[in-house]
Amino acid sequence: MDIISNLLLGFSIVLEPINLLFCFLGALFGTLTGVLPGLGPVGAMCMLFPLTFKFSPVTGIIMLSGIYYGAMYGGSTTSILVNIPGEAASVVTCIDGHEMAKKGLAGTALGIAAFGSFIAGTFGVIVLMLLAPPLANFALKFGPPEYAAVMIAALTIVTYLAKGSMLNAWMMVVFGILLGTVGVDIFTGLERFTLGIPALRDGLGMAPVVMGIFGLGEIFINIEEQIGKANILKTEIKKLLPTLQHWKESAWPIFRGSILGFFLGLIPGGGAVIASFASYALEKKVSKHPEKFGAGAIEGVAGPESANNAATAGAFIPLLSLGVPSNVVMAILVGGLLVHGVQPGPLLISEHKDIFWGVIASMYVGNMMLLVLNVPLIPMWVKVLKIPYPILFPLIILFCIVGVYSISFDVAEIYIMFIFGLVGYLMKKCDFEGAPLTLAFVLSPLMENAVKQSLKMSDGSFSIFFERPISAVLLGIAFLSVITTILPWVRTKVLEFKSKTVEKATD
Amino acid sequence: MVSKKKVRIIFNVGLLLVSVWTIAESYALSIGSVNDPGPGFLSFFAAIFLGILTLINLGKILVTSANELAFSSYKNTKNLFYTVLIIFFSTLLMNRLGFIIISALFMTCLLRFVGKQKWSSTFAITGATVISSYLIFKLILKIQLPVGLLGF
Repeated sequence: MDIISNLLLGFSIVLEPINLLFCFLGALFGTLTGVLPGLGPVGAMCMLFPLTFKFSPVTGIIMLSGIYYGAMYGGSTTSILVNIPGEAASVVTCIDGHEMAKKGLAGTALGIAAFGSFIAGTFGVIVLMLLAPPLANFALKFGPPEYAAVMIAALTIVTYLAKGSMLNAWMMVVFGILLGTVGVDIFTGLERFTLGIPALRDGLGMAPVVMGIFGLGEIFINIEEQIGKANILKTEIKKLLPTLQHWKESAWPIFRGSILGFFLGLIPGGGAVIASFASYALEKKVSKHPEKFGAGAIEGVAGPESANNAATAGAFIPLLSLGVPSNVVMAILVGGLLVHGVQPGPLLISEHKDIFWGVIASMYVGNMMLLVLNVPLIPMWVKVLKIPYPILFPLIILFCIVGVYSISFDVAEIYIMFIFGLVGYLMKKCDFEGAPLTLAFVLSPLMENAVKQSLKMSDGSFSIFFERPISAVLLGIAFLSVITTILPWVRTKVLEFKSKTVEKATD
Repeated sequence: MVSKKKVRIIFNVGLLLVSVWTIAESYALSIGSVNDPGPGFLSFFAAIFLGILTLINLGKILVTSANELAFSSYKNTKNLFYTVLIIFFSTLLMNRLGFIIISALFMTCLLRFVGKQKWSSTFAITGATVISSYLIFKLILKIQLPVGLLGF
């Protein structure tokens, strides 16, 4: 009963005209950024982040969340029609989605992607609504050692799931931790690593750092690699509503994708990208006709598109119940809450019911809006895709500049974004990922406080982290994720060494 | 053309310098002790860890020989260089010239010299962008943009 009354409270909040408007704008802008290759939800959220200062926290978070799940919807359009993923989570949709489009089934592919996203998104919100409150209650038992362990485990799992080298991911995590220590130390009041620059006294802002790495850095790469003209498929988009046969083929993939996606969304660093790949692999594995995959199998669109949308809802759980962001998008939401003086964590659900239930209700409304909007708006998105990148990128940079400037009306913030844009560009060139750095940067101050408090509590003994069961389990998970990555590497090296010795001996 | 290996070495050396500087600064700030950690405690150990990881990575890069080029072409790298310069100077002159002038110059330079648009479309897009962004940011959202020479 409690859930129903709280949900009604959420709906009463989201149905206020201002919240409804920003839910719509967020979902629409998110879809646009999902459609446009080279501008992901992170860049889009950063661009609109300063706008949230003007509204109540609930309106701001509703808008930012709308961008996130809107981008997941929009990404499929570009994948299916252009064979270029609008954002990373739609990479896998290109494989069968574009093949379906080439066979004249573009409408069906877009339709099933939209319906699958809607079903999975709604499923994710329901589970989020049911799981987050009890988890938050459980998290009330957490003290500084447990929080330190949660953050260490989160950062370790992020490196474990990194796409490239684990060494590179660890370097970015540590670099992120260092960036998070810039500014005044709250325990002593001493300035750290500020180089005498007043803008750094409060630490590096999250928006300029994230916008620099994910926004400007991405644009620099695109300019340098010069995106060619998008080759939009010239096909008539008809029959957006899937037939009964299509539904039969897609029902189980949507169901499996929803469950798999939601739970992968919970894992730090997991999120929508891994969910979509895992769902594709699962569908291929369970299919009676795996040979159809890659040649336009509808299951290859329905599963991954459902999984990436369910993952967006799953990713909210660690943030809303523990206050720990599981990916960069959630880190931006943390920033959005902190700006308004709202501390994300277990107390958020009880102390800020309006925010929690408002956001939950907005997800129902937003998913419905996206379904109603996206299908008729597909021709418009196709037109948007025709805007050449040389016209688009100056606009994006200008909005980034205005966005960053409006945070504190200080040009220094633009310089910080600019510097991190160059850092982000070099990181991409050197195959370093931005996500571990950003997560570590956001978690660093929290982790530092938790570690220092724990050590003070135990009078300098590290055993406090292992004596308490929750922190011991979490650190065990972190340790296991490191070991499971190092062991295969050591094994390969040993085998290489053995084969070399055998070769030498035979010579 | 510069090789990817060279860029990787430069980036890693940069990270190594960051770690050395952070170790020195953290030490100067005071590391404290385990039962009373100082302001430089976390950064000191994190910087040592970063230094070790960077050295391992540098060793790995030096051993593996990659002939891959770092940049796609001279022309595109020049475009990137122009973009970086335009952003830098726009930021530098932002407060002095004001948002309207700077955004007009910024859009014109990027559209014409990097985006290679015709003068007519450059002016049309610039005009539309400056007017709409002024309306949205200044008048609707009431964001305090730099006034500069024009006084509004």
